[in-house]
Amino acid sequence: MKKITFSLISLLIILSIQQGFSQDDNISPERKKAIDSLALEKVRDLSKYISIIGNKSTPFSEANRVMDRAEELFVEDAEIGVSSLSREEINNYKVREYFNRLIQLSYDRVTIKWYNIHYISDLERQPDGRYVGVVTIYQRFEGVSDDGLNYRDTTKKDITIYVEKKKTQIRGRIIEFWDVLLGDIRVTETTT
Amino acid sequence: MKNNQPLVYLFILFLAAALMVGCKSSKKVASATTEPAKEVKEPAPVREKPAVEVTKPAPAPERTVEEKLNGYFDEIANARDVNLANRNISEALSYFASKDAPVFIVFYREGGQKDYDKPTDIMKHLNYLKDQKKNPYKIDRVIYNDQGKIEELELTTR
Repeated sequence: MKKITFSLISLLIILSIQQGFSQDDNISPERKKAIDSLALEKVRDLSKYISIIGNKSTPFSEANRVMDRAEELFVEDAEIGVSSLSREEINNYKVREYFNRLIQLSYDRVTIKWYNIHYISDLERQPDGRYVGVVTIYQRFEGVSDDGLNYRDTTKKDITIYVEKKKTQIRGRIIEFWDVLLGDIRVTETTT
Repeated sequence: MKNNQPLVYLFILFLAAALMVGCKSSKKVASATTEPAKEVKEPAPVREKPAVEVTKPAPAPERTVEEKLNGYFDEIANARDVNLANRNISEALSYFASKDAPVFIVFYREGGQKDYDKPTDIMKHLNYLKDQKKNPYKIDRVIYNDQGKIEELELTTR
């Protein structure tokens, strides 16, 4: 009898947990599409920020401000991979360190463009409630110096995306919002 | 009877002369009465003036704060250089209670429920427009304080 009671209680607990998950997961395809677009827009925003930071004509104060904004897009301790046609290994740097290295590149003109930004793994709900997906981008880098030092490459990079519903209190009001954060950016391919 | 004939002629002549004089004086009176009519016609240009004013286009109605802000947002996003964008940012900020005034962005609506992006503040939002060179939002709701300054802004995707 005790065994039956225990089994019934366990079954009820499991069912209630599943019910809870399915209620939270009840997102219409249109709403999911809007969340996908929001996340993709954050990647495009980062693309623009990186282009501003790398641009040698950007005033230092502006570049610093943009670095702060770009850093806010990432989860804590996220890393960005850096590759080169001249070496095999890929170096990974913390986001701020990556930006600081980018701003210090010894070229007179730097152009960075991201294109073909798309999901390779759709946002999927995880047991912890977060949605996780992967976006791929192609980056065209061009560094040109007046003394003839030129470097160009195209890098394919994968960016992990985390989306989570959070709450915050602003002016005494509780606001629910979707927090989109970028995780590690890993280099998967480097070509000329 | 024959003796009276010259007198009759004289009377007729006198009558005719009197009539002629009468006509002339009446003409003078008539011309005297028509002259003021000329004076009335002379200030005609004064009458034309209001007619010209009527044809002028009516002054454009004062733009609302929301319209002005939308204008600033577009100008910041399309500014040809950073200095121009920064000048517009300063002007736009003058409408707000503080640089930290919260900005909420609605990216989706369903069944009366709003989905918000991460809340930001007006200073960051204006710089976002400058950096990203795009203004994908329109003003949906504005909350003013007692001094008429904006203390909260809600935007929605276009």
